[in-house]
Amino acid sequence: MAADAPAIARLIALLIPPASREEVLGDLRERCGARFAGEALRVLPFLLLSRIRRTTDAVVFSMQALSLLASFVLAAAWLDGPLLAEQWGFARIEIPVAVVLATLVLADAYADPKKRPLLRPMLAPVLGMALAFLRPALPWPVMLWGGMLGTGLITTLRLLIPPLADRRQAAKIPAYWQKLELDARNLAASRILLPFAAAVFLLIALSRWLRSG
Amino acid sequence: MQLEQLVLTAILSLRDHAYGVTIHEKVQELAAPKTISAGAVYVTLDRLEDKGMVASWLSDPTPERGGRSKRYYRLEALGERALEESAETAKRLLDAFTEAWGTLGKPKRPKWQPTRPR
Repeated sequence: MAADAPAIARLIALLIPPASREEVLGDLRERCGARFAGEALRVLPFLLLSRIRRTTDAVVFSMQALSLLASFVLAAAWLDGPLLAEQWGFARIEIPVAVVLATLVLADAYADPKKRPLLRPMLAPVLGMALAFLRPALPWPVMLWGGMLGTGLITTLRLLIPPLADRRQAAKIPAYWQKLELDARNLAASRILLPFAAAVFLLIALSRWLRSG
Repeated sequence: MQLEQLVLTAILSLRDHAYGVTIHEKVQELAAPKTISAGAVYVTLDRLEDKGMVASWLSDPTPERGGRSKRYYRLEALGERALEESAETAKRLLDAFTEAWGTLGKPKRPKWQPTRPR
């Protein structure tokens, strides 16, 4: 049986998340020989979902979503008020938010746990914003200001609470227990989420008041 | 939970040779006639590792795997306890079946023996 073309084999290797690339490619090679592309494509969705589950923290994800939404809503309220009153105004705002969030999730899943570049907290939000700008769903000034504010907020959040894959892990502590550290007590609503939500609502209210005044 | 039990059992029975390919083969053997995809086994292994039931480490690369390493798995105390509990449950189930049907496999139904009126 002919082997897969080197380009295809390389592409498949790139599609497998780096955290499990080494052993999975080895297993595929052992199971299917040099022609492993088909089997790799069958295994890939499972690997990706599993990696996303391991690297995505629901609390941090919600905070990122809220920050992004607030940034674009603020920018729209400030620069293009009628946009919010349009029938699909909020839906249009959610498009860049969804693009950036999807990029963040995938960037964390594909992050190499062996490498920790200093700029990583900033790279994924900037990449997500760049993708959202490829086909802007909002007027340019709103995209620009909302994007800048959102990138700043998310980068700060990721510096304060690094993605799960980037957190320093003590020897032999399972990732699940490490994940529990972020659970209820440390990020309890009373300590972080409530003040954060209050600040966002205050900002929105302030922008509304300034605009009407 | 059933897949987790199968994977834990496979790791237990493979001892020092438990890595992706062998675990998948063993799970297939245990789950027959059902087929279990390799992807599902990888997901389960990740989940078990997150729960602290198994531990893993990478071996040295080998030429037959294209110079790639194997990720070996072994049971942790938590995994052994979980497997023990599930084995006890399975034994209770088996006892209940045996009590109801006599032997496992073909249920022994009471034979219909109509009595003829004389």
